[in-house]
Amino acid sequence: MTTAEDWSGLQSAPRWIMGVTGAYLCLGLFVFYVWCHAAPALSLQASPGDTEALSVVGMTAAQAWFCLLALRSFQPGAPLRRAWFLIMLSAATHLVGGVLGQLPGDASPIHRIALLLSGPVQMALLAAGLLAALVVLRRFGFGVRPKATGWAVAGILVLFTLTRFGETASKQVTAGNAISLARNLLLCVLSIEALFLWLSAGRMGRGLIAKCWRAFAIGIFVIGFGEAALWAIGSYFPAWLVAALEWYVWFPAAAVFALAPAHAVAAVRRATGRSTRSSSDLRVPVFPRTAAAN
Amino acid sequence: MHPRTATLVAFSDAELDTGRSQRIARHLQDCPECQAALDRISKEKQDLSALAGGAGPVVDARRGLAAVLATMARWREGPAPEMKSRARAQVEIYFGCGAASFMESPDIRADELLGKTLALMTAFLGQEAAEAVAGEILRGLDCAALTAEVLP
Repeated sequence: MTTAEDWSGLQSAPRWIMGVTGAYLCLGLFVFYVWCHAAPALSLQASPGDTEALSVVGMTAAQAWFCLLALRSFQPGAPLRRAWFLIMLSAATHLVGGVLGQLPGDASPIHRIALLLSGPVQMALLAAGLLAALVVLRRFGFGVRPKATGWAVAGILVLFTLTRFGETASKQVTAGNAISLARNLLLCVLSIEALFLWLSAGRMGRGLIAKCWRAFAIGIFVIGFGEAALWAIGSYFPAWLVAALEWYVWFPAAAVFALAPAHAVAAVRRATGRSTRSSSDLRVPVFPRTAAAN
Repeated sequence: MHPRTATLVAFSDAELDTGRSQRIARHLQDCPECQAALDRISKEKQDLSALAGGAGPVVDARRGLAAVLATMARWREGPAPEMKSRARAQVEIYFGCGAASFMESPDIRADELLGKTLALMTAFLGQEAAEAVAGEILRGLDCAALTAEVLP
């Protein structure tokens, strides 16, 4: 049985992710504080952006790996297998985009491909995966009808993304703007899916599987509200500060997205790890068939 | 309503699923007409088997019926409450209290609850994990011994 002290094995992966995220955020805040004070004094030009981006890529790699492990738990044709496959593809695409984005040359085609992969492509795959999961949740009785409060929360996010959409659409159409437009539209879709996921998971309770789907919803809310907050403060604070603060949106979001499949993997490991019976003992006895055999 | 002859043949051949077998068994308890039909089927099968030189197993439908009834009695009073409580506990661990209360209607049978639990586990955790959870639920209930006990 899992105990509070048990930090070994994949069962404890969610705890590790939470611990590492907490420690890294604290360290990041400290470094940010030092950097804010030291940079003007020492005339530093560099920003801690590279290491920040790598930490997000690292979390995305963890997410892709956990998604792969979760996917392998399901046999072909299983209802959730398609959902996990799409979510795994989404994480893998995000990872590839993140790695390509670290290559030098901001205006290079590779950089645009990276933006496309880690933006609209990844979000579209995630939206498709979460939609498949919502269908399964509904089939098993966890379907929900959001109340006014839920619609209001999702509405705020949708309103924000549509505002951004309008802003971007009014500008000259460039590759970067087109990517941003697609991204904003997909964020709208994801926000609504997140609302349904949040409520469905709430209907389940507080078990490991519920935590898994709730984490996806939280990840989307962190991105949505984080971007809204950054956009709101963008008019009042210098651009370098806003750029530095982006990490405090993207890193927790990446961590929460890694946490979701980690919960699913932990649940599977918990189930399979505790079994001591052979598979032949596990079937519910079917007595008439046994009678026939006699 | 009486089951059709084909259904009784399938019942005597143990080709029906557990739920259907139990429904037929309940009906047979109160219906001498169907019991007689089942006896006839059993006898005809024995005759056919004798004609074929004794090849193949001879199914005693009466024994099958007795086994199903005994099993039903066991579900009602023996390991059933324990199994229900374990299934609920497992659903609470992996899904939560909401899911456990949602899936359990007050008069649900233990085997139905187990079936629902396993369907849920298979869908959300995969086949292997669901089997492991089934092992956890059935551990100590010794269903294999129970089978042997009701089928001398």
